[in-house]
Amino acid sequence: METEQAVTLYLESWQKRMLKDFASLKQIKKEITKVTIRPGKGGCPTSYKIVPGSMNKEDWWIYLTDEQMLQVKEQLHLRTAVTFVNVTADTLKSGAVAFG
Amino acid sequence: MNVDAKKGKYRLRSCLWELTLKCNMRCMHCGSAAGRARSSELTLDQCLAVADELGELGCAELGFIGGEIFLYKGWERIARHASDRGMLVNIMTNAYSIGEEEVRQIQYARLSNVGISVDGLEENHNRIRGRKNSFAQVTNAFELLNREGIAIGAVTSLLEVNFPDLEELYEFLLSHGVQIWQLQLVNPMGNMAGRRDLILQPDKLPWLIEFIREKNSERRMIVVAADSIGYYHDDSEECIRGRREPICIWEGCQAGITAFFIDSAGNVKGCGALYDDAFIEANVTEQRLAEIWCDERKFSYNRAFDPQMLTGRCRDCDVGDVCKGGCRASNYFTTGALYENAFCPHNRKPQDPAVLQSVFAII
Repeated sequence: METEQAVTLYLESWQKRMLKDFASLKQIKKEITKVTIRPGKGGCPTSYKIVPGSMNKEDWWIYLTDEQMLQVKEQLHLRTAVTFVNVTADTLKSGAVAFG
Repeated sequence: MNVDAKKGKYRLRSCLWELTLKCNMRCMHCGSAAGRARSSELTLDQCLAVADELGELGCAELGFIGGEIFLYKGWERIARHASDRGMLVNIMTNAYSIGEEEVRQIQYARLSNVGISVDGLEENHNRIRGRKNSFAQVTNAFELLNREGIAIGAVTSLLEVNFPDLEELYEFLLSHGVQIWQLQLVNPMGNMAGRRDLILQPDKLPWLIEFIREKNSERRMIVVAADSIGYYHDDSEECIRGRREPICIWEGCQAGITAFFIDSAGNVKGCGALYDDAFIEANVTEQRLAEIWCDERKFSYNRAFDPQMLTGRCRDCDVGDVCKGGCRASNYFTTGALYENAFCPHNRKPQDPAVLQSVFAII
């Protein structure tokens, strides 16, 4: 996704509860109230063959509310609906997804 | 000439590298018509030097393919060399020759995963691969790799003949510890150049995309559409591209944008599926990789893309400027029109005679 834009979503109570299942977040002690997504300039990676970094056992999806879906679409100037955001140890490490 | 790749306009993310064209199979759908090694394949020392250059370029992911990778003596040294330089490395193999020694090589190479070609259930896989025991060898490889805790992926190249196997194949792969499964179309190139009657028909694509979406939602395995499948059909994009980015959706062919391909003779192309000499940009024995990558005139079919270049139905498509006309290789080998995708179900009726005609016309 060729954008420097970031979008911050404030989490609903059911999203907060679901996040507790994600292993990499268990170390975060304070209460999580929001998630910031920075797609960056990497683009959707090529998949001619299986790519080395394609597997990540520690991954998770945050499903979005209708309101959040609209917010993501508008702020990131997307042309398609996005109903969830991928959370992996790698995206957390790189800061592409950040909880606070 | 010294080039600072970090200052270049394009950031290399991944490289696919064919170490040899030599193969122990003669698959009916092989896009590169593999079998014999190329006459001037890179030596081990040359390959180690190229791996160094990839590291200097900031390449994050490196995949090795053949031919058959295990037929290149010393492949594991090159892979280890790249792993030690911080790259995430994997291989694609037909698994025919995987035994204890090959497992040791895989471990030495420190691969992130091993991708295995599985082209259907036993009957179809063996028929496509041309060897009666090839499916049994795949099963054996799964057991060996699982025993050692090595992550496994599977790639299925779809034809009309193996398409009905998908549901059962999914269960088979799940039961054998496969963690990621990539589905891809076969292009009419290489061994398939004269067999357009065997390639998957465009009317199957909506079903296929739904299949991928459905299996992903089960979350038992990551199922990924290759670059030749999509695009923006029924809001499915985010469900079929994997989980490597927070929001992973198709935004155009990445050949020469974030990725390139090196063949066993050192020729550099944007993508491994662009098996035509017209797409050779340079050779690693004549130019350093950083020079090739940072030369903005290279890979012009993508780097100089403009939506005005779209043709046919892609020209009037509402997401044409984002999708950029889909997979270049699929387009090129199917219709010869680089900027129009005949397999795209977006905004099209799948049985549209014009689509079918364009795919099956002999150029």
